[in-house]
Amino acid sequence: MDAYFVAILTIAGIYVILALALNLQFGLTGLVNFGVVGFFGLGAYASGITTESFHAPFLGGLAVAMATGAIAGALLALMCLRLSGDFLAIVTLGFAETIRLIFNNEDWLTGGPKGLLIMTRPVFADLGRAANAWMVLGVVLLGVALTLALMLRLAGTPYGRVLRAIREDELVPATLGKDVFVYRLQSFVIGSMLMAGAGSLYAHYVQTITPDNFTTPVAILVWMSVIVGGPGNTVGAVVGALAVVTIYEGSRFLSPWLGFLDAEQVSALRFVVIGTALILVIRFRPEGLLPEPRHRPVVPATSRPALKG
Amino acid sequence: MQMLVNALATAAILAPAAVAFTLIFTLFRYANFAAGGFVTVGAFAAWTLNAPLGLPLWAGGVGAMGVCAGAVALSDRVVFRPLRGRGGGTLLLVSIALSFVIENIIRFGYGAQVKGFDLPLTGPLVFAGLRVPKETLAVIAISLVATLAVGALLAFTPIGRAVRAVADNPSLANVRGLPVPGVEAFGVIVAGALFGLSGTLVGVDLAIDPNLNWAIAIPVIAAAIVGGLGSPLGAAIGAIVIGLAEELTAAYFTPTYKGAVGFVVIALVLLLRPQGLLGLKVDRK
Amino acid sequence: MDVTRRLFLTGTTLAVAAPALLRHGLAQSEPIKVGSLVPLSGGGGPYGPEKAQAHKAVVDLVNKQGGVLGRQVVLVSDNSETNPEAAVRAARKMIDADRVCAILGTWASSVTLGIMPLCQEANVVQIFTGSSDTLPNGDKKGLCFNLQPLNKAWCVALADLAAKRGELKVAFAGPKNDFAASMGESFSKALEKVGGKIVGEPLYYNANQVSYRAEAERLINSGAPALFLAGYVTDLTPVYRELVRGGYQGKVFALSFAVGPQFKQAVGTAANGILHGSPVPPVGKDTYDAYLNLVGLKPNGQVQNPYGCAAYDEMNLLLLGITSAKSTEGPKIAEHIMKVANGPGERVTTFAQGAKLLAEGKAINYDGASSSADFLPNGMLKSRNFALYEIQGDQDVLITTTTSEADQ
Repeated sequence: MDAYFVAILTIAGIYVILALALNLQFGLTGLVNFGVVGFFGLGAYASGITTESFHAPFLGGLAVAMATGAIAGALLALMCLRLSGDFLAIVTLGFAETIRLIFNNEDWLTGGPKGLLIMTRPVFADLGRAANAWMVLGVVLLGVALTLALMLRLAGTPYGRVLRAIREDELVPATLGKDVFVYRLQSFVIGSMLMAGAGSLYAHYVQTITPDNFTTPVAILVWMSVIVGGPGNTVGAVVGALAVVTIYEGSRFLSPWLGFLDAEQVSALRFVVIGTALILVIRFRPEGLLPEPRHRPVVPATSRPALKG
Repeated sequence: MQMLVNALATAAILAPAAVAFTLIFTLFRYANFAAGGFVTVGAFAAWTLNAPLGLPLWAGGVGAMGVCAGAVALSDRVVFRPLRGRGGGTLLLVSIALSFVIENIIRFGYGAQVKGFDLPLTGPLVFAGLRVPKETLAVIAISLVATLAVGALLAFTPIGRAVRAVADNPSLANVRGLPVPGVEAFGVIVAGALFGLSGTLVGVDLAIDPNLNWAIAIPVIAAAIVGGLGSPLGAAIGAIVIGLAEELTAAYFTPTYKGAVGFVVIALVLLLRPQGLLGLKVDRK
Repeated sequence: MDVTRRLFLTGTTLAVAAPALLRHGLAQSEPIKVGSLVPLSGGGGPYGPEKAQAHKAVVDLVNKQGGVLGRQVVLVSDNSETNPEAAVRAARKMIDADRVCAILGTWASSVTLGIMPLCQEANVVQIFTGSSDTLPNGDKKGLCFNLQPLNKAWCVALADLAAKRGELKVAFAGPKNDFAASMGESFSKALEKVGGKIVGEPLYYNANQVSYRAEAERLINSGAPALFLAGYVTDLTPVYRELVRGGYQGKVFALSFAVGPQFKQAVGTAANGILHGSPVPPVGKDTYDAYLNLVGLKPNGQVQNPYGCAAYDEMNLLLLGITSAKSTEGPKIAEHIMKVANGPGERVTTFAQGAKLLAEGKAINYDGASSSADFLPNGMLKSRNFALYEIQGDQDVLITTTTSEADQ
């Protein structure tokens, strides 16, 4: 087996966790979080600072990262969850940008633009390049398995059904006596916590994190994963993330056949294709590759199509 | 005072785009994050007409308004109209993807080289110690006229009343015999022209570069939200608030956090006055 | 559920197999693979294309003449996006999938440092242009070569010029990045050494802002009689424009790469009077002209493609190192790059000359298009020409050329 494959799989695993977390927030509950990359970065830095400045072990960093992510998620949610979805989207996007500025400006804490060098790795012993890579992959896959199990369980329980009902029309669960706000808050906080956890894994995998690691294109890729996979479908989010990472990385191999374009154009073209694909999927296959299974009782005819988001 | 002049200059750039963003929001109820992308299109269109083709800058600006109106109309026709009726979140996501596509199409076509208008740089006019650059004066004047003109158009003309009627309740407007698609198209074109104008004004001030996209999107949207997402006048005032907040941050705090101003202002507005400075309460979903 | 499972399995298999399949298709022959990772977008976007072009021109020429050690050279190009995250992913692909022996052309120090742990781990040689003073720290294996002097050297030359012009009170501003931060520190030290002083706090700003008016305002209000602006062209252009419009009257010092033709085109005659300096290729020297001719430019007595010529040297040095080492293993190549670059040996200026002499068993000393390409033991450049200019009538008028020695 080969190192590149291990590397891609590790990255894919991290994207799978991000996609699962976003799927909980958007796919199940209908919360538009554009700050994915903010929580991801927050987790990465929280974990890195904990292990490097305070010499905690990897698990300590991971725990601090998840706690930080949960707190940040709760604060943002408290601020705007009572308003319409657009506000949440704008606030989370602004949050991601602000977090990045903090990473860039607070040199004393984050190393500033130079970034943070992380020596703590989630490995038991330094057994050389290949063995380390496999061990990190193992840790990431364990994270994926745990997240996936949690999500599959959540989606199947009455709890998950309440979340879905909130997404479709919050009035119905509200009339049934469910506190819609609390459910939304919980969903958002769990999602943010998982994103921060993914950030921690990422930080200890790449070992150098800089503010530039956490820019908007990362969020676009995670969104693409959820949309392509099928919003609301847990397995879909996994497939979506794998597909997106494959396309994104695979498109690198096309450049030799695009010799008539200069490299800058090739890279611009890649983003044009990714963005266009995202729009097309939303337009023509909004349910994604794997549609969410629907167990619907007979619905009385309504004039309103089911709303997403 | 100097700070007020500077804040007004920033506001003048943001205002037309914020008004356009508001207009699209009231007509179609979605936040079009491609605002930054369209402003970038405007800047590049004006530059193309002005620098390589040698037209005067005003002609470049008018051309940019036309190009942007076309671009926004096209995006509405091809991308957004088929998605009407989907949730605001979906449309918002699509608009972000669109913004990403626009930015990279521009990068594909123009490369990453920095561009500037063919415009001589001159020193400021000085009134009693207050320095006012000549271009800034022109930018503020043009922006003010454009914003007021659009405001008057919406408030006092039949087509403007029609736009507001459609924005309030499209089905009711339809029942009352208003040509809804035509009115919507009109709104889209006005919004596009305003983006084009903002793009031209940006180009007077900044380096013209595909990265403008995100740099401008957040302050524009912040201005629209501060203004309450309902009225053009609100958006213009929102732009002034954002401009002032940015100047204050840079002068008394640190310029490196200027990019966070938009976010902080939005957060404060949401906490203190969710309906914005002007404007009615935005309906919850 | 059945369909779902099948889809899932197919999808996963495809996702997992695609890179391996693609790679298998590409790894048929046994050419020497070299990575070219240059900034084609982001802050370094304006400078990347000339580097990519130079890499390609050298490789095409060498392949036409029979390759290296009888093997063809395959260039694997990618865009670093001036972004360490993108660069790390691109580098990972170059190292693990293409199995390149070296990655050339990184420009921003953050990118060079970002991919360094990866390259160190995989024994991949890095040859680049960068000037952050922290660059030598991560190279534990001696695999890195830098064709640009570090900030320290750069600032000494600029501070000398400032002193000569009687500008001893200078305010500093630059974008918030590693490069400008270390530039600010070095400049402050260099200025103090010649009896000057930095006015006020150094001002850092973020690139890609909508307006730089407040920054310009702060600089004007500082009352400094001179400014040193360590920006890139993308942020320097709007900052400078605001300064002129705000009525700033003092002297402005800048870095040459930021005030090139794009800058002059953008600000017009207002650029007159700017003093700037940078490491320069030896204009008029045979090596530099050879590079210009290779990429289809006419020598005109001015600095053209200041990074392209360094990229030309990057590729020549690597290929000569491989020829000399008769190996594509990183540590061996690095050891031989040091030999062919520093000599002693017969002076050569192209790969063909060098390869011929090496085949005859002679020692060589490569003399480059950007500098004489001699390195300190830590892989940083020993010395390079600096030129100091004043912009007059839309032209760079040369004030003086100095050779700065690195003091490591």
